[in-house]
Amino acid sequence: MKRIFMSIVLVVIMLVTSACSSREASAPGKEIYIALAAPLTGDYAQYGESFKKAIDLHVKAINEKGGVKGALIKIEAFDDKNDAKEATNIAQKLVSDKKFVAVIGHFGSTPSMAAAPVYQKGGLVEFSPTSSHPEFTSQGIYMFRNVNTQAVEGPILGEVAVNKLKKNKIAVIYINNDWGLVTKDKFIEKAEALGASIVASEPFIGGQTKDFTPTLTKIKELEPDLLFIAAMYSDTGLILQQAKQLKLEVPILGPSSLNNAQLITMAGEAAEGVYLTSNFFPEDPNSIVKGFVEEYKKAYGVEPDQFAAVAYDTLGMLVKAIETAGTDRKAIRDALAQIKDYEGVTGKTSFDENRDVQKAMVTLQIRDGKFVLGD
Amino acid sequence: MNKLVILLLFLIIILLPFLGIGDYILRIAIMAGIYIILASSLNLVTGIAGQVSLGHAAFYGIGAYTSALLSLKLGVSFWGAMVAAALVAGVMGFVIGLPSLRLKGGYLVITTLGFNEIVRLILINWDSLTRGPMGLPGIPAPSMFGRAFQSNVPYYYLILALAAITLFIIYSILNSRIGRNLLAIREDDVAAEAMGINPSRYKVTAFVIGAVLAGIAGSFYAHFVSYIDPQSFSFDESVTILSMVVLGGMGSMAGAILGAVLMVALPELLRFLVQYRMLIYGLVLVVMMLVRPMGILGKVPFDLNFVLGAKRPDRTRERGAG
Amino acid sequence: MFLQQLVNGITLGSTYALTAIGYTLVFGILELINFSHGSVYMAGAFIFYILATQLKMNFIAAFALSAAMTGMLGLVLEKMALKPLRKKGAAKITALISTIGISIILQNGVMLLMGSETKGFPSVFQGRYFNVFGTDVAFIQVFILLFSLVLMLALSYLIKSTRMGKAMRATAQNSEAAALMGISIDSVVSFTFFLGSFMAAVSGILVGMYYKSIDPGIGYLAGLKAFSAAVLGGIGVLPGAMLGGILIGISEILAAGYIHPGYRDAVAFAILILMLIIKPGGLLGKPTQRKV
Repeated sequence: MKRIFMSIVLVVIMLVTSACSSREASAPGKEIYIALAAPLTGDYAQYGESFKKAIDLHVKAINEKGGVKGALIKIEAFDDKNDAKEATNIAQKLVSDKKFVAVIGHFGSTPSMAAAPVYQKGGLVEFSPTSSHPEFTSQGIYMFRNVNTQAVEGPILGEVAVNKLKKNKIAVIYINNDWGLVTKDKFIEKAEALGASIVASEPFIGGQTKDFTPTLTKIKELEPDLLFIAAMYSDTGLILQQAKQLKLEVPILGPSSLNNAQLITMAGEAAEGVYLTSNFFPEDPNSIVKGFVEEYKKAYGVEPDQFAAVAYDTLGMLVKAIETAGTDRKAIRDALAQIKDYEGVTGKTSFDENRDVQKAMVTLQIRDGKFVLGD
Repeated sequence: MNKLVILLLFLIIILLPFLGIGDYILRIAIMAGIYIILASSLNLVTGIAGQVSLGHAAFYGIGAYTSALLSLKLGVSFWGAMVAAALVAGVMGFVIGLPSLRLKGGYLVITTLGFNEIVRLILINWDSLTRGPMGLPGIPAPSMFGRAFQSNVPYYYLILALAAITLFIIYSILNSRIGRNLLAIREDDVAAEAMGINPSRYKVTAFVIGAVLAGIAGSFYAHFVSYIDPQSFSFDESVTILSMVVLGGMGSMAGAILGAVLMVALPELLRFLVQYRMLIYGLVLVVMMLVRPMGILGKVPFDLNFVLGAKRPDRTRERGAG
Repeated sequence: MFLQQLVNGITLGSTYALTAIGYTLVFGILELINFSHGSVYMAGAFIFYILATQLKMNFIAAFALSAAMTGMLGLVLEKMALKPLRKKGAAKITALISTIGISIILQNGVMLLMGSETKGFPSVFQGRYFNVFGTDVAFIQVFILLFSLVLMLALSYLIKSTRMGKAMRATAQNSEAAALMGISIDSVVSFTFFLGSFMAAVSGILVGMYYKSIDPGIGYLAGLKAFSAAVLGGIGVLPGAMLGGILIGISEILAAGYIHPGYRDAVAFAILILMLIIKPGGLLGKPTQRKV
């Protein structure tokens, strides 16, 4: 029995000490704390790492120029493992710790959605660079996102497929998560409205499926003139390779998630000719983008992907809001919502009344192992 | 002296929300409460009845989805939804338990694991019912006396009550004829059968009760976090719950509680080690098993070799495979 | 199209078979569900990746070396984490939890060292094809199938005819009696782990070459499917692992192609569960007697 008591005492001590440790006395004024909540371990760690790298880069540049009115920006990163429970715990922690003025996060829609009620109730900005769940920003006025929702990108892709590439017998493969579902739905809606017919719509479970041969074999039978793939680059790499293996020769179109050099490394020749939309590509001659790409390459030895790019802009926009509003959480939210025509590496960005953005997109194509502007 | 400590602990637990600990710690406490229910219910199945289940998260998920869907689509109140969740989880426990519990050891583990995955895949793919990966947002908070729960505080007291009821139920079972029969089956089910105890009936009973309790925890969870999706109820979650039971000490009720609290609190305390957290978690499992395999509060000597039919050194008779 | 799907299924199935053979060996001898088999498989593939692409070693040398190193890894893991449990007579579930812990450590360790992104994996098999009854079969598909067959035969020979093989069989039947007969259980266990991990690496590398990609997460499902294949075919029975793997591969592909791709993994598990309920020994397993 004694052991039980000791263990319960131990537990209570732990709870109390963690209570004390999270209530830190923060020195006001000289440092501004922004939290980054993203997956730093687990299946999606690469995206969280991209965020962190880009944000650290941008913060360094801002601090070197004296920070925000003399106060230095400090980033603290929190690992949500792309999990809803972790995300809500982190959200609660950040809401309670008053030194954080805003949160950049989360990456995935599941954690972003799960944590939203906590941030909303606690009055802390949750600015997600990538969350695309259609109902995310309707969870509350503190929810912001910096990516075209698939509700925006899907129709753009539909137009590219039918009007630009002149295809009308389309097969679709999509990843069965909220992002993939919305992309597929909106793409199909637009494509059909423009007169194309969809001959196949095949889902797969992301992270688990590596073998696409049954789906590709089925699609080959149907003889489409375009294959639309709504998936992340790693899944698409596999699809491209296997399509080649099965001698499925058909033009391929995908969304901005394909904008990653690793796709070309993985799929090699199979990636030639693939079309994609994007709001960021490293060879963009725009001077802001060039500068960003160079700095990133210098610091990290690799080219930034569009996740890094959008995180970079997310931080930039947040800092702009802080410059205007100071460190009050609500004031920052209000200032952020007012931002119009922010010039960043992912184009000119403005928030609409739902705190969503509409960014212009370009069409790219993979030629000779490089991403170039598609014509 | 002991009585004073007990009283003090009791007071701390009852008055926790008012001790100035803040919302964050209160949330951790609430999560701990949920996992206490999950770990204890699994303990009933695994530690006491001796049936290793890696599918507990499936019942958790079934409870959560049942409760959420009833509230969202049919406007059922939380209380009704929770009862329904418990029932549905229980029925599923019966359906799965009846055929599976005839299997031994390793085979049972795989079956429960397979079941867990199947449930998760159904949740993802049957999107006309569950909205698939889009999840269910906006699950309403429970209401009492006409007012919905506004802060974490009422949730805390609710989970405290649910956990207390759960522990009471399990304690009563342990000390009843059912409990004694389960332990007999655990030790040697062939001998128990020879003595007239029907192992299948008791194993399934324990399994169903475990499922019901997990379903209740699921219902609470859904109405606490207000957004659920299939991702939260995977095999990983079952592993987590099983680890809590093993860490704390299988067969020991206090052990299940301790395991749950530790594994909810530790990751929060280890947060400063962000990048290495999962790695350390794995290390903790391995090291614990090496240093103290009976679990922190497990009973000495650790007698549970029955679980996978391992041979005990002082026995001379053979066991069947697994 | 059906023939092509069948080919797809057999190919996929032989990747499962390859991994299941190693799995069933360890389970058959030690009655241990080794959750870390999948992570060892992944680690083996990554070791090859490092040797072949970063150290630019010759493929054959890298292959042999990474398999051997992974075998050593298995040996070390057994000695450090599982042997002490065995000596203490601890419950099997303790070992099971320990292997889960090992699996988490390996997966996260690799993630920390190598990053979690999917990496392009080198392959020696470029697009050569055979034409079988009007469908195209890639060279690597045939290679993997034949390789699993050869491996299975080689292992069967090992188990049946060599001294170590006999010692392994004796230990599987009754470890106390085997010990009394002078067999060093420790050696048998160590060797089994080495062999199992060696083969896990071989499968990991070959499958990596097939998909031309790896990431730290590949071990999880590979482990589970191998697991299911081994049990389906009959735990401890090598040809069973092969058969189980191919059957799961075929049913998965047919489900994905003709029913619904989202449920493909569920189908594999459902078949497994049904099997266990109807014939738990597996398709080729022997029924066991429970004596009192």
